[in-house]
Amino acid sequence: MGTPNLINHLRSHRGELSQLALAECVGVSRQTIISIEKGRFRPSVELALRLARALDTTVEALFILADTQGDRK
Amino acid sequence: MRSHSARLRDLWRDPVAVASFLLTWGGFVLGTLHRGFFALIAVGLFGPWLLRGLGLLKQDEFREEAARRAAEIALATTGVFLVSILVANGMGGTFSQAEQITHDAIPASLPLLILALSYQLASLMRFWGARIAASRVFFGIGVVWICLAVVVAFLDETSLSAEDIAVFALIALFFMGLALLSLHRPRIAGGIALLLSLILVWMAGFMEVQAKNVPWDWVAFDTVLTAVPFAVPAFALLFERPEPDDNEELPDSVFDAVL
Repeated sequence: MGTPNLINHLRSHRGELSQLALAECVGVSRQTIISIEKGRFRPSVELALRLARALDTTVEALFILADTQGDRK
Repeated sequence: MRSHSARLRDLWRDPVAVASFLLTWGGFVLGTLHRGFFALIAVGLFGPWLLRGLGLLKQDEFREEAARRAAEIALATTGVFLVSILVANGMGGTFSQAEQITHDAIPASLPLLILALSYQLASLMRFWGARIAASRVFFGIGVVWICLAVVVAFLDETSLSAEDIAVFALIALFFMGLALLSLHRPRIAGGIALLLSLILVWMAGFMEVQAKNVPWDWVAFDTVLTAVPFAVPAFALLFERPEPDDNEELPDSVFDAVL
């Protein structure tokens, strides 16, 4: 299973960056972005770093460990 | 919702997956004309794995993971089937003496069909998610059913009656309804699909008893071909985990789900 994350939230706050645009930016398919956002797929460290860079944030800010979800909210 | 043309472009964005699919199923279809074409199945099914193993093929990491998970399911399904055959054979009580299945009597095409079907269906379930993938599979079955009905109508010398046509249409409608149900009521759709696959297996057993002149491997082949396409989506729908961040819009209709 994947890891909860804020990708969808940050996409919306980056001027409605589409899933396809983000996918092309980090060099994966749109289906990969969908699966990560929905928590169906856990990306590699490299892809997580590329996603964080594309969304102008850090990996720690982008992904949420299950036992720290309460802290974020 | 995204445009249909954008979705079609997405489908063709992975030429390896498309080539693998076309080679595998083209091999099965053409193999009925000449057994040499079965080689295409091997190329379609195992070619990408060999190329990945040799480091000559690099795919999107999600696609690779989907293929790996599907391979695990296909290996387990085929393994369970083969062990079941061996156990049934060893017990000797399942089949009559005349029909005792020896190891050599299991045609290689049967486990290959199970492997191919479960692998391809499981990779679709993983790739698109259970609901959309199951919806597309059931819609596809409906389309194939209609095509078969048209072919039978053209080839059969005794023309189909109005009742026959109504039955064909009702069955096609049932598949389309199941596709729609998969999108909005996945557990119910999964239950119906599982029930349907069990009925197909039971019917095969019934045929085996009733029609003694039908070779058992034909019955087994047909059963696998008809039951597995319902069984794999059924399990995927029944065991689908709730997705907390459900931000991908579900299609409104079956036609939106297909494209």
